[in-house]
Amino acid sequence: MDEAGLKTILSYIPFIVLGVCLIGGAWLWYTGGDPLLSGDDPASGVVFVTSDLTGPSGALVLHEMTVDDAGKVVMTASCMNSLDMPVTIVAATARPVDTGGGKDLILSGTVTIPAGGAANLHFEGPPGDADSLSVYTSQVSVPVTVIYAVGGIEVEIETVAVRGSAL
Amino acid sequence: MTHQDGEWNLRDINIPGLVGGVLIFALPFMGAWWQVRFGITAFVLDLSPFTVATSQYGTPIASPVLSVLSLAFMVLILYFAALLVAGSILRANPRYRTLSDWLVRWSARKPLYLIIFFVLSLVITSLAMDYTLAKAGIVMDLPIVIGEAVGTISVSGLAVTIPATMELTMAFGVAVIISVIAVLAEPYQARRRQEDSGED
Repeated sequence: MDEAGLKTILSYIPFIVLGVCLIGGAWLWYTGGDPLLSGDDPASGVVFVTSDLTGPSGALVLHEMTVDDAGKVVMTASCMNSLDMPVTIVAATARPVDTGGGKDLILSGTVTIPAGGAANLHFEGPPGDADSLSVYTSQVSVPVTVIYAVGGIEVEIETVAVRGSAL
Repeated sequence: MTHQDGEWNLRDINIPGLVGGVLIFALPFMGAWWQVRFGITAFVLDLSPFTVATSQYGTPIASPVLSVLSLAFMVLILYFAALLVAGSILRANPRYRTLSDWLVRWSARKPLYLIIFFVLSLVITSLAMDYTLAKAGIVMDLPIVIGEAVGTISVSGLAVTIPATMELTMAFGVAVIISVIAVLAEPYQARRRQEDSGED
């Protein structure tokens, strides 16, 4: 083979490779589709997370609400995670009295709930704030604001903790 | 310095071409050149001309079409690396000077073209992501190619905060250096040719 022929062959090889791969890619798309190019993009991923978490993670069950000797309100509620990935409760506040000067109860620390699992959330109020035990212990539902993180995305939802007996 | 036809003289090898050509062989195996993250693991995109790796909450999303295109780019860049190495070595034999010149000219700029093509693709990808997020109702001023941003979605009783980061990796910097070395092969080849004709 002469030099000119060799150059011609070498010049055509890239176009042949590209052509074969483009035809192969088009064939794969035609036969099986492409999950990335057909819509499983970041935006739909985010929508997927928010729509899945608003329901199940909002199911807080109020187990206990007491006032200690120092007048501090202590509340325990359980939270379910029906997602197939861990959820971390970054922060949460509960407001046990709708009216009358009740102060927010703060989550005592971050809690990670395993995929499909549940965990107890412990809330505490400031000492000396609660002067009437009955006001708190008779409350059936408590408004709660929860901030949780899934894969680094933080979601803040307003929900409610309902006494187990009332559910 | 004159040589008889067919006599190999290693001093005439195109050094930048040989070094650049050998280094180009490593390009497809250096990992991602660009990384995009939404959250920490919510959505991760690792991109280079030779790899497209995406995952959502740790679950990989395979893209057969992009995988085939990446394979094409990998085969082509390895092909041009082989041509550049061959052209640089053939420069050492006067009998193959014409072929050597053609091989170097045909292959030396291709890595640079690939990088230019890649950067343009990143700009288009960034704009496409920005458009998609806006269409999905996510308020986020997404940077172009490099940067950080925080997006939010607010509906009744719900607020979502989405941190996003985009960065070029060290592998991209190395690829730029390798492509510059490869491009230098062309003027080096021409300079040697003038020296030869001057001596003749």
